[in-house]
Amino acid sequence: MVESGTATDLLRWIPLLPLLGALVHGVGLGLLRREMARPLVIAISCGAPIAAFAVTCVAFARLLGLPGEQRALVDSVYNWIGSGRVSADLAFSFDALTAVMCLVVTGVGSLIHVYSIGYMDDDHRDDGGFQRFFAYLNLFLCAMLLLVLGDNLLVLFLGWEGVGLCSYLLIGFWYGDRWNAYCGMKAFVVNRIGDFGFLVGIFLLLWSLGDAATLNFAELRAVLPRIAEQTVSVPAWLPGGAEWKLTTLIGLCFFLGACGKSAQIPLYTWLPDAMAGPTPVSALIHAATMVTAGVYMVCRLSFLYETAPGAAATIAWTGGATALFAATMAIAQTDIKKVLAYSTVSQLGYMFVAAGCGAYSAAIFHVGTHAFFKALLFLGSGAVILAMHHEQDTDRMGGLRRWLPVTHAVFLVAVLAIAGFPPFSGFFSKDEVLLSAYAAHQIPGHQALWAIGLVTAAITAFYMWRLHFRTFFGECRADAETQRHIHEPGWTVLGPLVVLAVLSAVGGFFGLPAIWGEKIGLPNALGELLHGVLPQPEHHVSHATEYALAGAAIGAATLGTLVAAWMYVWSPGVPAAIRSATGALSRLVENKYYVDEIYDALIVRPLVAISDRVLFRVVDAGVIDGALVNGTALGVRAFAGNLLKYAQSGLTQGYLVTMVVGTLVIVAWMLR
Amino acid sequence: MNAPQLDMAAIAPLAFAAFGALFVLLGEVWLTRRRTNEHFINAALSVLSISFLGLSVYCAGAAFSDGTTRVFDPANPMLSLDRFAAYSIALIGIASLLICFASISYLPQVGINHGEYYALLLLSTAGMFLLVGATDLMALFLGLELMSIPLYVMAGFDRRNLRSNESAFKYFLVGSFASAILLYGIALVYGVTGSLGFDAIRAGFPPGNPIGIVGLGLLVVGFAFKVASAPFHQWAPDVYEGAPTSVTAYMAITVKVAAFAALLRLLTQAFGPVTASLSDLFWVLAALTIVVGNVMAVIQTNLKRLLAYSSIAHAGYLLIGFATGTVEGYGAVLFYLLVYVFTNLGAFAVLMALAQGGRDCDTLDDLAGLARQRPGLAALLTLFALSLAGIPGTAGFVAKFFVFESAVASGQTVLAIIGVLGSVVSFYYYLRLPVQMYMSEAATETPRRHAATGELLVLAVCAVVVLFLGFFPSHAPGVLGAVRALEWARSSVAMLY
Amino acid sequence: MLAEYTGAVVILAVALVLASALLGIHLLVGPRRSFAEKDEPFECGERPIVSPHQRFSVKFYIVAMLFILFDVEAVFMYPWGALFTELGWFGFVEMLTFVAVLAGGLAYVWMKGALEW
Repeated sequence: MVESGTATDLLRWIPLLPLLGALVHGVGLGLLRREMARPLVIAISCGAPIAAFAVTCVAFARLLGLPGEQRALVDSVYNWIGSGRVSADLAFSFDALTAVMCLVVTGVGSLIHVYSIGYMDDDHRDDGGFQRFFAYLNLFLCAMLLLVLGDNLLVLFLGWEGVGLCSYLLIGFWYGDRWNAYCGMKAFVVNRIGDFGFLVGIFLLLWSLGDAATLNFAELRAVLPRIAEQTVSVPAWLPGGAEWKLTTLIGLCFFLGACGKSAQIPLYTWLPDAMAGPTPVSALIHAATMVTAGVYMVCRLSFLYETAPGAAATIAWTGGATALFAATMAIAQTDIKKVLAYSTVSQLGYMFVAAGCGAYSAAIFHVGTHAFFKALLFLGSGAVILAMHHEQDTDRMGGLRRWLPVTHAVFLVAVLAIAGFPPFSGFFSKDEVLLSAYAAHQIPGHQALWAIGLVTAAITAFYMWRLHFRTFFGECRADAETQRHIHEPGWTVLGPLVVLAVLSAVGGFFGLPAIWGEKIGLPNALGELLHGVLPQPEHHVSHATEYALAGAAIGAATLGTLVAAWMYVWSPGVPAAIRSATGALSRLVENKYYVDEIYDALIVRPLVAISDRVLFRVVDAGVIDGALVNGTALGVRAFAGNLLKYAQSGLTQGYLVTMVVGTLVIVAWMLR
Repeated sequence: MNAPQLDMAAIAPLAFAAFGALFVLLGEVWLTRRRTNEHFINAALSVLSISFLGLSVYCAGAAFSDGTTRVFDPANPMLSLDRFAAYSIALIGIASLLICFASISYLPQVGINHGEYYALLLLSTAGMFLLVGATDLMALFLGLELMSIPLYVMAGFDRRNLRSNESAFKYFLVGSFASAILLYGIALVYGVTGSLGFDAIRAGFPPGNPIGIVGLGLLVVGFAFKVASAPFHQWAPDVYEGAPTSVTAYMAITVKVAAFAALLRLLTQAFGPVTASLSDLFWVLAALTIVVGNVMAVIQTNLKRLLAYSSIAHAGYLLIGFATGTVEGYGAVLFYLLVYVFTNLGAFAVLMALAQGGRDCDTLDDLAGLARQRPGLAALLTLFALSLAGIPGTAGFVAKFFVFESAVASGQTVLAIIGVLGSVVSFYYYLRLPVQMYMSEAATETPRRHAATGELLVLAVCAVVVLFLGFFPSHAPGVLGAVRALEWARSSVAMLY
Repeated sequence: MLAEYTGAVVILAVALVLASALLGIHLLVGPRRSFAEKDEPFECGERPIVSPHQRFSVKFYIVAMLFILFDVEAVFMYPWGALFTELGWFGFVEMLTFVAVLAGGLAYVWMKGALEW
């Protein structure tokens, strides 16, 4: 057993409090069959995350009080799975990485709970929708906290599946529209593809470690050097030759899981559709917390990726490609939440660039700042949507700053942050990410990666300003009736917005890079905190280069801003002209490169076809009522003269023939 | 000749079930002739059956904690009650008992309220008890037939329903075919070893003898039919769909436990060292079954068919344990069976609780809007679906984890990956249940009946077990500290060696 | 080792060859004429008066099945009777149990009214 930290009973309360909130609601709705009074619902559901935040703060204070070397708290509740060879406790550990994630999750989570009070206020369905919503939200928070607090891979996986499940429930929350249910299902199923990678990664790890098999992070870190140099044979046509490092293979499996959860190529398609859920859900789950779980996992397993350069390079390049690809898709969207969704995919790409380049603390830094400004963007867009009576299309907005001055102001802060203007938080974290790509000599083509990041930064600035201008500037394109009812939402909505705006503005100072910190005498608090937990890249970049890189980033952001201003403020005719000039290309972009359609044609339909036509009609029996009940007569007639005569639908003779053939094959094979 | 020294305790569970069947049969005619209320008769017979099964389970439980092996007739060992048999008997007994509970209200709802149902159920259960305790091929075959023949009748129990008739007839045809194959296998094994007892076969099985190998292969095929492993699975969806839901539950759950347990004993005790050569065969069967079961389930719209394919897929996961050929693998199989019983029983019990007015609830559309009408049932069915799919926090996940982990530990990594892939696909069809219940409006607003006490009891037991085993598979806290499910499964297997 | 089974294989082969030869020769050389009378169930020229697919009362089957069941019971008693002295009290109790179970079945069918014609 590796000594992994100071024992405490405190940590279990962090996920337990939201769980209790969810349980109270579940019992109330499921067994008592009646909805509680709304003030009580609010007190319970918002109290739980706020209390969890308080406990996190206490734990954080205690963590800071520990000497640098053993900076971790552990809380082992009980031995969950003790199967002899592999044993896993239901245990939580709280080191600097977890602390940062926990603070973000409970902090931003609490704000979003408060915001939801106002946002969900008009949900007056008779099925306890208001309470059900908060029950799911609390349950989600519990699962997310299990994910970040988990002391081993299985607890992480418990949370990992839990957040996926809650995400599914919440996306399909407004089930009046069947499309929403479909979107929820899509999110879950696509995520399961990722989970396949995750599970295979776990099993490969167990297999390769042999007698030393363990799932505990601290122990894994200790035993991993044993397999660091092992290789496995893979098909020769794969890149990197016929021999791969074992850790590369395992790392790629886990990264497939991260791709699903964090919406990276090729598994990103579910996230834009996930916007079917209520806006607070998009903010909490699909922007601030759950989608960063993949980044968190890669950082948590940084010791693995340090020994797997192939996997790390794949991560960096996948992240870079996703960042650019998603950013281009965001350009053409008109739905306010869809723009933000593609923007989230793109920003997550940045985080993976940093993680792949070994700059794990930069990735976590960007997770934090992104949580602030993206939550703010979503909640701000939610405020707009509320004001516009659930209108999400920016084609019918415009000029809203007249009616919504506060929303406009906070949205502006968020746009400045995500576009990367100093001194807003996004500038510093994005700068760190780009620097890490520029300096990562171990990654093939790292300078191209940096260039991609820079181009993406320009595009990001462009589409964010485009969104901002189309929503808040110009003439209002909504009908007069709607215009008369536009008004600022209540304080439960605006309060969290203002808090998040402040955090988005100053959040960068928590992790100020040295070149800026030295100037104003502010240390890089986040970097120092994470120093012992995450490996630090060794930069060999002069200060002059760093300033030049920062200058390039600011230049890119300014360029994007100016183009957006030109197209949407100064010369409003330009976008239409461009669209007609580049007909096919802009249709391609508007339709998101037809990726959904391609996946549908390549994966979904063949699966159904195999199930339906091949296995079902040829190998198995018919569901068709007629064939079943009147099987013999109808079946034979339908298939008469057909080769399928004996291998078809509901006919017992066919089953017997298959059995005989199966028996003969098995016996022959055993005698071989 | 002196009277043999018989150990009556070794057949106690079997005797209780078999005599219970006789009592129930006679009790039914006795009560009917007195023209008492039909519902009263049904409930009384059910309670009578439950009491007999309870006695069987109690005996099995006592034998399990006692841990000694009791052989019925030591001079001629054909049947024994050891830890392994006790574990399987307890599992089968509890499942049958719970099905009796749920049947009290289900049978009148679909209009098949005949007392013979319980007699047949007890008789079939007695056959399973014999099957899992058999240490002789003749006893094994007897158990198999005693288990199957009442089942053929039960499948056709809804005799005015064409589907039910068709189901029974198909099951009978294919089942007797499989019995014949199995019997042929027994004959060949007897031919090469000259004996039917497991110990004697183990001692006398000539390695490399082609006839012996064919015999072993035919035995495996016979069991592959009973557990509905591909390519011998085709009967299952038709039969499961046509039979009344309670019978489907009984067939899908207890038969699988009994057949897998008997196969396990046969492989370890009768064929010990030879079994290693079967690893490849089980590999192929497992992979094929997982793929066929999961892919086919995707397009089903009938719930019972869907659960039939799901049970085929689960048979595939269980066969992974057989492919490992290790004690850990077999232990994982026994644990999986425990989880399988309660998860499936829960799912079927929800369907039984939804049957009303002479109609089974058997299509996906019947579930639409359930979350609003019966939120409790919807939540429970969601829980069971998630456990079947293997979400962490439910028993289904732990069971799959142990099976896959044992496969990885024995070097069958590819098979474990196929298993994981299959369970990924399975989410697609299991999730259609909550989607229907939570995210669709009911087509008609016909009021649904309230679940009866018996059904609620079954549901509560299953839900508690599914969650409990999900969080405490190996050790339980506090006053439940004695509950060590995984260890029970492992030690039951270990004693076979 | 398989040599012991040569005889069985030879018989199997002979049976197969003989059967297919007889059928084959018949198909090859036999004349085939079809006319209305020939296609009737009785090829002797006698006209059937009723359909050959008659329904029988289910009671026939029940009685037939019950007869077989209890007939087989009696068959079991012959070897038991032959060994009665050797089996002693144990054998007596065994047979009593066996008969008791069957008597239960008899009681069931009787009370159910299956024996009433």
